[in-house]
Amino acid sequence: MPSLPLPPDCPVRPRTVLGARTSRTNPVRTWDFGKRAASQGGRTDAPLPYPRRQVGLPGVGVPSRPISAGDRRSHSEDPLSVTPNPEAAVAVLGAATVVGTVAVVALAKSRAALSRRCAELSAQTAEQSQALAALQAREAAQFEELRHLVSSRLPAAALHLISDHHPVPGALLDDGSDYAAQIQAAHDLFVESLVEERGRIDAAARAALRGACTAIQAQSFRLQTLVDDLQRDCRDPEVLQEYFRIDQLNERVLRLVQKAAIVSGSWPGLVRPDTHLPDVVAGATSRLHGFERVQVHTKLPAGGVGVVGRAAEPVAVACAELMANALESSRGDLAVEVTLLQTDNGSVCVQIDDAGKGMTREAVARGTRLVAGDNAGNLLITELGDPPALGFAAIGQLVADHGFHVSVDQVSPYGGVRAVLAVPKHLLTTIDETAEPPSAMAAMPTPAPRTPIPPVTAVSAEPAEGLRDVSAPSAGDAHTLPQRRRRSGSSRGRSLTRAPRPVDPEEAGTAWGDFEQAVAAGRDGTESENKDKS
Amino acid sequence: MSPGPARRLVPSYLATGGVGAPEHSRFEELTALQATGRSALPHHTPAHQRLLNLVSDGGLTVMEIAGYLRLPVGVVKMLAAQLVSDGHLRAAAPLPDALAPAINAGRPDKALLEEVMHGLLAL
Repeated sequence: MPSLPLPPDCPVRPRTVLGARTSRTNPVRTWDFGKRAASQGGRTDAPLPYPRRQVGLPGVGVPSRPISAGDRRSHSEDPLSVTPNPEAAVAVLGAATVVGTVAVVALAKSRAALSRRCAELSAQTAEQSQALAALQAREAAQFEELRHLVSSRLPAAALHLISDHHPVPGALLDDGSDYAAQIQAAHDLFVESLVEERGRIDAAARAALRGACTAIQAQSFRLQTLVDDLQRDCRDPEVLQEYFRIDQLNERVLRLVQKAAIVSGSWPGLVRPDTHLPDVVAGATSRLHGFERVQVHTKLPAGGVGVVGRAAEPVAVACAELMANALESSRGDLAVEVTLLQTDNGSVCVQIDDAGKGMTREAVARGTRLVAGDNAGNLLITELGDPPALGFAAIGQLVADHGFHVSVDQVSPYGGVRAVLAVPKHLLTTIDETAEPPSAMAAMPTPAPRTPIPPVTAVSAEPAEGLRDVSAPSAGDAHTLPQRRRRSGSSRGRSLTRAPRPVDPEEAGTAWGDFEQAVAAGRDGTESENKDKS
Repeated sequence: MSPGPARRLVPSYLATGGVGAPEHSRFEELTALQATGRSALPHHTPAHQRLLNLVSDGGLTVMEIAGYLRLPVGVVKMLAAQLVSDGHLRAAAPLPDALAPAINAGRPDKALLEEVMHGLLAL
C-alpha cells in the first residue's frame, strides 16, 4: 500500500534530498520551505508557483528522477563547465529546468488530485458498504421482528385472552421507529379484533343459553306446581315418597337452569313476597343433592327477620350455590353447618362451613373475584371453563344486581371453606310471625337460656315460633291446650275470622262432653238435635 | 316480567329429611297423636320438632297437625310414622271409631258435625 500523500496545503514537508548541496547542509533530511529552493539555487528567475518537493511514485525511488537531480547537480557543481556558448547553455538549461519543474509540479498536482479523489472514493465506498451492512442488519432485524410477531406474540396474545396466566412477550425492536409502530399497530389490531369477535360470539352464546334456560325454567315451574298439588292430595306414604323424589329432582333441575339463566343475563325468574330468612335458607337447601347433610342453626333474634321480596329469591339462589359448593367439596358423610346470625351492624349473615379440603389459593382468588360482582356485566361464558363453572359467576351477577355481599376466602373451623353471605340492612325487613309464621321446615331458633324445668315439659317450654301465642307466659301455661292460630287471608269458614281466645281446661272438658252428647243424640234422632241446639 | 302467582319456596320433602315412612305405618286423618315425652333427636328435622312441640301439651289429630304446620296431610302422616317408630309419639285410634257403639256403625254425617261445630262456637 503506498503511503498516502500529505495534503497539498501543508507548508512543511519532510523530504529526502539527494545530491551534494543538500547533503552538505543536511545529510539526511531537510525541511524544505517552498521559497528557499528558489532563492538558494539562483537558477530560476521566477519564484515557484508550487512548493517544490519530491514526490515518490509507488515503487519508484526518488533517485530515478534523473532530470532534477542530475541537472541540479551538474548545474551547481559545474557552473562553468566546458561549453562553447555558456549563455546559450545556461539559457537552455534554465529553460529545461523551468520546463522540468513545471512538469514536476503539474504531475505532482495531478497526482495529489488523483490521490484526493481516490481517497474520497474509498471513503465513499467504505461509507456505502457500512450503510449497506447497516441496512442488511436492519432488514434482518425487521424480519426477525415480523417472525417474532407471527410466531410468538400473536399466539401468546390469543392465549392471554383465554387465561391471564399466559405471558405476552414484548416487541424485539423497541426503537420508536415507524416499523416498530406499525408492528405494534398490527398486534393491537389483532387483539382488538379478537376481543370484539369473542364478545360477539359470547353474546350469541349467552342469548341462546338464556332462551333455552328460560323455556326450561318455565316448564320446570309448571312441573313443580303439578307435583306440589299431587303431594297435597296424596294419602299414600309410598306414593308420596315417589312424588318427593320427582319434586327433588325437579328442584335440582330448576337450580341448574336458573343458575345458567342468571349467568347468561336473565333475572332469577320469579319475585317472592317478603320472606323469613330461615325459609329462604331452607328453600335453598331443598334444591341441592344431598340436602340431608345440611344442618341449619339459627341464632337470629326473635321477631321474624325477613328478606325483602325482591332479594328473597336472589339470596336463596346464592345460598344454594354456596351450599352446593360445600356439599360437593366435602365427603358424603360430613355435615355442612349453616349458621344464621345477626351482626351488630344490623346485617344478617348466613355462614356456611364445610369440612372439605378447602380451596386452592388460585381457586380462592378466582372465587373472590367472581363473587365480588365487579365485572359481572362483562363476564364471558367462555372464561368459565368447559363445562362452565357457573356458581360463582351467578352469585357475582346477583351481588352486582342486589347489593348483598359474599365472601369465600375464609377457612372454616374444620379446615374447609367458610362462605359467608351477608344481607345488608336495606334488604332486611321484619315479618310478623303471628300473621305470617315461617314454614314448618324452617330452622328452629336456638332456645334462650332458661331456668331448669321438669323434663316432661321441657319440649313444651321451647316456644315454636308462630305456632302458639307468644304472649302467653310459658311457666303457668303448661297445662293449657295449644293455641290455634288463624291463617291470615284464609277463607275456611266463619270460625277462622274469630279472634283466638284463651281456653280454660274445665270449659274445654265441658264442651267436649257436650260434643259427645251431641254425637250420641245425632245417632238417635233429629229431635234431640233440635232440642240441643235450642 | 310481571310476577306470577306466589311460588312455593320450601318443598314438603324437606320435612321428612329425605327418609321414607316405615312400612307398617297406617295413619288416618283422625288418628290422635300424643307425645311420649322424649325430646327430639339430632336427626329430626325442624318439622319433627315442631310436631313434637305441638303435641307436647296434649293430643292432636293428624289433620289438626297438618293444619297447624301447614303441611299436606300425607306429609304429616309420614312425619308421625317416623316419630312413632322412633318412640316419640303414641298414636291412638281415630276418635269417631272409638266412639262408635258397634264396630260397623257409620260415622256421623257431615251436616250433623257442622251443626255441632257451630253450636260449640256459639257457646
